[in-house]
Amino acid sequence: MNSLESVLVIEKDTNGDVDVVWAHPTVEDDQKDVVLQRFPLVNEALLESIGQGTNFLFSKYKDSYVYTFVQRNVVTNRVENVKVTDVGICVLSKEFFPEKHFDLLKVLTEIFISSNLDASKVQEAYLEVFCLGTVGSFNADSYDARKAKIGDLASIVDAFKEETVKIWTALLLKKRVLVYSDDVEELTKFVSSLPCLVWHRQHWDLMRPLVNLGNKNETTDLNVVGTYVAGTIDSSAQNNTKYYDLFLDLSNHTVLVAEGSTADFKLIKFHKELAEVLMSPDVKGDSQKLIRAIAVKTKELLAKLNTLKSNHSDQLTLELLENMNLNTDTLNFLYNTALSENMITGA
Amino acid sequence: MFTSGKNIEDTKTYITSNQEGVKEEDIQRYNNIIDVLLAAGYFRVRIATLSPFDKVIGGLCWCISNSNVDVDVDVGFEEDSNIGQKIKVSEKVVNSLKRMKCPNKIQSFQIQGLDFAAIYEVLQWLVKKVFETREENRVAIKRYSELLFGRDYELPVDTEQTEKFQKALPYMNSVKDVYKPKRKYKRSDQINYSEWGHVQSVLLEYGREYKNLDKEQQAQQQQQQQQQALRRKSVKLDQAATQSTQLATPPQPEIDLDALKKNLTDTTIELSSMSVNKIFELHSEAIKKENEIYQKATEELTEKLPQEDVLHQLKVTQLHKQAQVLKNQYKEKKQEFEELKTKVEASNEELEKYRNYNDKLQDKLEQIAERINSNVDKEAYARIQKLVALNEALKKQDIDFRNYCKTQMAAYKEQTLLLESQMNQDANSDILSAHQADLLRIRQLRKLLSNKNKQVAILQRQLDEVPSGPELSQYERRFTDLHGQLALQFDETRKYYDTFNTLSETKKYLEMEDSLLNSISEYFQKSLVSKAKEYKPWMVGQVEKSVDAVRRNKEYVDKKLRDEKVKKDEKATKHQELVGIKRNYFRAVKDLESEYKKNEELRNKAKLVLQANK
Repeated sequence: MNSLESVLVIEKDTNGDVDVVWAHPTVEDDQKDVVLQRFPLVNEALLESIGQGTNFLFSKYKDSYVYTFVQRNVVTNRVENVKVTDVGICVLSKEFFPEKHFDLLKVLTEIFISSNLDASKVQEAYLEVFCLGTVGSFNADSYDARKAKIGDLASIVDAFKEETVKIWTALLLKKRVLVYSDDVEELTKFVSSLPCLVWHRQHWDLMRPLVNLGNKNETTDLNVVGTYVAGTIDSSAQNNTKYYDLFLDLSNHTVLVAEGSTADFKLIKFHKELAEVLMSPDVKGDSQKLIRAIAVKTKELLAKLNTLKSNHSDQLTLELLENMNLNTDTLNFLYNTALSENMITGA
Repeated sequence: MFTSGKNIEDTKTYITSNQEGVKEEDIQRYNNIIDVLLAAGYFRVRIATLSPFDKVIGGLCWCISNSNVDVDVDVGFEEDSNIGQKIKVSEKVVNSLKRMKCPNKIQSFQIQGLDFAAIYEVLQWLVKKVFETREENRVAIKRYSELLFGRDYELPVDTEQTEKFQKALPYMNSVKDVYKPKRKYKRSDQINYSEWGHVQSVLLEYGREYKNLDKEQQAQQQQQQQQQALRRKSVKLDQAATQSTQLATPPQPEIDLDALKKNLTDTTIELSSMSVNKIFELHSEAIKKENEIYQKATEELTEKLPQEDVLHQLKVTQLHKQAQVLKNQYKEKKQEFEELKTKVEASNEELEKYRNYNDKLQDKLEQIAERINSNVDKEAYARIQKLVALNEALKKQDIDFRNYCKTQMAAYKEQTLLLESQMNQDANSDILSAHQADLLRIRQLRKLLSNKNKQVAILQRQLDEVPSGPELSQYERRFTDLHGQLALQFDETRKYYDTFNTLSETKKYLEMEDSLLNSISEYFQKSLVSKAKEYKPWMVGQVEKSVDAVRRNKEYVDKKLRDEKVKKDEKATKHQELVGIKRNYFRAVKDLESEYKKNEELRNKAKLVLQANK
């Protein structure tokens, strides 16, 4: 399993300090900082929203996915570690597959605790997984990678109904989307499902399931990426209009467009057709079918643009579109789509 | 009028001696009359040689004439006139007095006969009248006198003032004229205009152009002002004048003001035609040019309608500005675009490079793969590939981990050193210094506390010395007790003294008795023995003496006893009286107490009743 980048062991002691006690092979300072910020025992807001049941979180920072597992109220009988109250293991990986990594983390934590908090055992286990793909009860091969990609689109459509079209527009036009929810699990699931809307791009890098907008490292990361789908549990994020063009509130199922970008979100006839497709009963409840339907519709749109391009000797420019005598909204939309699909040539 | 040189006293015309057989009273009255007349201002009375009648009648006439009443009488006076003439004169005076409505009645014979009493009364009234008229006419008389004075003479002060006025007058006029409307032009010909035209031409002469506002709006006026602004740059003299009298506003086609102006000539210049020609020759060219410019300007402006022209120009300028702004924006955006374009190109170039590199690598890999495929077992090759990759990865991991551990170690060591040093510092210096400071403070506070306690103790003792209420009553009780005890003791001791005294006296008497009896017994024995007749009478005598002495003593003691008894009786009566008083006192106190109780009861009753009423 060579998508794994590194593993971190985090402990919390009786003084209330949380720190990364072990890392293999290496971890950058900013990565460490971000991981800690997203660690439930450091970030009280996360702790509140995570509830008592779940103890697994995943998010993304820069190019790697961050999977964190927390074990609370650890009891050991090793004298030196009597001060440790909680334990967490974090794995950084290039692959997006939450379920797989969840199982892996469970196993690693087991090993860690049973070895009386001996981090070298974790290191051993990590290396085993890295080389062989199995450790303990975990076997990397038993997971089908394609499954990870199919997100839960049906629940999204159910939640937002016709507004889903706006979300689709945002993703198609490479806009920045910010999602808010109180519940971390729901949030991360939602954000990881969103790229399914633009299946034809297969662009999974732009998702940032959990972001702390107060953390400088994370905001720099966001700015560098440029276009993203990010999730936050900070309720005041709605006011931070410089971080989004589209704001989704999962608790209220509302969609908010930032003032600067309203021009790009004007709905045209095509959107209505898409909305009809989304709401039609035969795709209801089935994410795969939904994905397929949306993909088909998107392909239609792109095909149109492509034919246009090929008709004019592989050139697609703004003037060309203007000469088609469309109304301004449609023109805008088509132009932006073409731009984000890298179809525009010429000045 | 005045007799100069002589003393005033001498010229007093009092009659000091009987001249015409008048009485003393009359003399006095006459003197009074003279005084009054003098006080009024009739100085003729001073003249000594005049007869009293003269003075009196003269005084009356003078007062009448000075009273400003029209009496229409003609009085002629002659010296040394006989009675008849005097009567006539007096009659005239009386008539005039009647006309004056004098309240005091007087008759002519009284005046002639010098009845000073009546005359005096009349005179008083007359003099009063004189003063009144003077008061009324004071101001008029003064002015009249000033006028008469001013006709022939002049005071030097006044001459100075008039000179000053003369000097100041031209300056005053010039100041007044500053804001006077000045006439600038003069109409050379007499064209008959309408009333409005006439008005306008007159106004033009004074340099003002006035338009009829009914036909124009304010917007046009503003435009005209703008035109002025334009024109002022191109307006030049159109007159052959060195003065620059500006036209207030440009000409309008309403009324042909140009025509009007042509008829005007500048009144301020008084040049001869010769000098004008000279000036023309000197500046002719310049004037011509400027004239041309001016005419062009006027032509241009009068061709178009003024309003649209200016509006259009404004719009044009605005649009130009907007265009400029947009151009600037476009330039900026273009610059940005250019930059981004270069960046894109650069990254594209890099991409191309990498692609080439990639292609090369791909080619090489293909070559190797071909070679391998021909030689080696594919499965094994795949496995080897994997393992090699894994090996590389693990090596890298190893290196990274080691480095990481080293850096972590260094960081932790630093931190521990820092914390230890902090701890040491904190442990020693801070705590010790805090401790010292606290000790000092405690000492200081203790000192303060002890001082305070001392003060408190002093004050407490001072307070204790002052006895409180119950203490005082205790003291009083104790004092009374002690007093009672003392009294008892005193009585006892006195009684002791008394008993002692009495006992000592009885002892004395008993001794005396004893001595007597002894002597008696002695002498008796002796007399028995000796049978001498001397002892018996001597003894009898002695005994009698002693009996007398005893009797005397007894009387004396009885007397004392009687005195003491009397005193005792007195004291007893006093005591009875005081006891009676005491009894009364107690009774009164009891009564008072009962009254108090009654009062309380009544009060309570009253309260109850009041409450019941509420």
